[in-house]
Amino acid sequence: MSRPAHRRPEYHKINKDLFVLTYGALVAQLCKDYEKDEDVNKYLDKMGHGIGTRLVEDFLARSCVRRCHSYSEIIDIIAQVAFKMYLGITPSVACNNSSRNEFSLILDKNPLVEFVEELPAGRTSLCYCNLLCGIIRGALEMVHLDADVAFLQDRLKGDSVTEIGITFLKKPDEKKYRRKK
Amino acid sequence: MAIFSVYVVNKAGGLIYQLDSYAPRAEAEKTFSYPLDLLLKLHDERVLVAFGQRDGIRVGHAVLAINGMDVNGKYTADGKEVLEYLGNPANYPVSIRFGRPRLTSNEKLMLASMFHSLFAIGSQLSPEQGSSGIEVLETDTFKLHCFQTLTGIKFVVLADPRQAGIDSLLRKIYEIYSDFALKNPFYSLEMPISPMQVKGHQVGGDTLEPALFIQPSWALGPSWCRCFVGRRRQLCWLHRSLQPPRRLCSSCSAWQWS
Repeated sequence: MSRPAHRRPEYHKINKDLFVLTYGALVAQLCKDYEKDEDVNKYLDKMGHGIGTRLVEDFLARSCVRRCHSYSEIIDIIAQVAFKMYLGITPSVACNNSSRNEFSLILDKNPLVEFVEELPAGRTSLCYCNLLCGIIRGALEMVHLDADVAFLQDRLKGDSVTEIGITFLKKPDEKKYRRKK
Repeated sequence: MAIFSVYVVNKAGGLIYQLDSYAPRAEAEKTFSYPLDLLLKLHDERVLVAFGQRDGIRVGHAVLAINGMDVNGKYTADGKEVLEYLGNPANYPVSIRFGRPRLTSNEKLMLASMFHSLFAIGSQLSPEQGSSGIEVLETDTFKLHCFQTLTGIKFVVLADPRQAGIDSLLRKIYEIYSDFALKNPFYSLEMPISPMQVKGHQVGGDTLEPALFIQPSWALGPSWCRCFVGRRRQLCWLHRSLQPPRRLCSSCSAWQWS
């Protein structure tokens, strides 16, 4: 055949530094715009949410994952397939809660903080990579899963590893189908 | 044409994208003199043939054009009512084109949301939990293939019943959707996709539309060249190294575009 029947989509590679520097510029600008750390964190999360709702379709289209039957399967896919596809890293998964609703992803290498030495003075509670939390939250929301995603430990704040905690909440969809009497 | 149309339906059942193939439908244009021997009636803003089948004009066909000018619903291009115009003997002889009426965009919206509801019913009827929903709807003239993503978007393709490979086509459309609709920062989710977003984009050298509808005849099997050799049509074999849609006829050595 002159054209292959099914061709993997070509990933256009760009310079990782450009991406990391762009993200850094984004966070720096947000810090200039907002005085409080909570505001910066909130807006990073919101932006990440918008990205996540769109990125999930791209992820599902390219990775051909099947429907998952448990939360641990979902977390495994996020860690091993999604993070690998988009950031090139594979965080390890840990389950915190015995009722299997709280999980955490432990990142030993985070490409986004490559050039950051330390958080600026007065910004001690800034979550630099909060965009990632928003992306995971937005992506899970598009597949009808409500989750709380936050940083539990952060290397930039002095902890030994970077840990993202994901807590699955009760599905909000059930309320919609209750008849109003 | 192997693919007839593509529909993309969002989570709520609204149609966000629709593309039809441009295969000419059965149309017949004839010149008539007064009185018209077909009985026409107004139905749903269109003038349909109610009685009087002949010469390729069948019951249910709509008036598409009068004297070469397309009609606008029940009005002619000049703004006069079609039935009134055809009732006046002074306007004859008149040339009228009849054909199968095309679906209007409102009708397509309605059909898409109805299919969405049927899909939901289909999932609920399933004896097992977690059914995939309607995947294929087969009739004698077309086959409807549906693929629902994990996020609830449905991609529906109407194709020829013999056409194979629609599953990979649906996956490909999903990839293209995720690339060109979603990554546009100004596109709001669940909103209609403008055709410009899809047409203008290159996907590895092909645009979406030709990739779907310009099906070269060789893709469906061996095809016959239009040249005659010894008063008999020869079989043309495709040169696989050539880019479609052009192929070299082995008998007349001419480039054929089919």
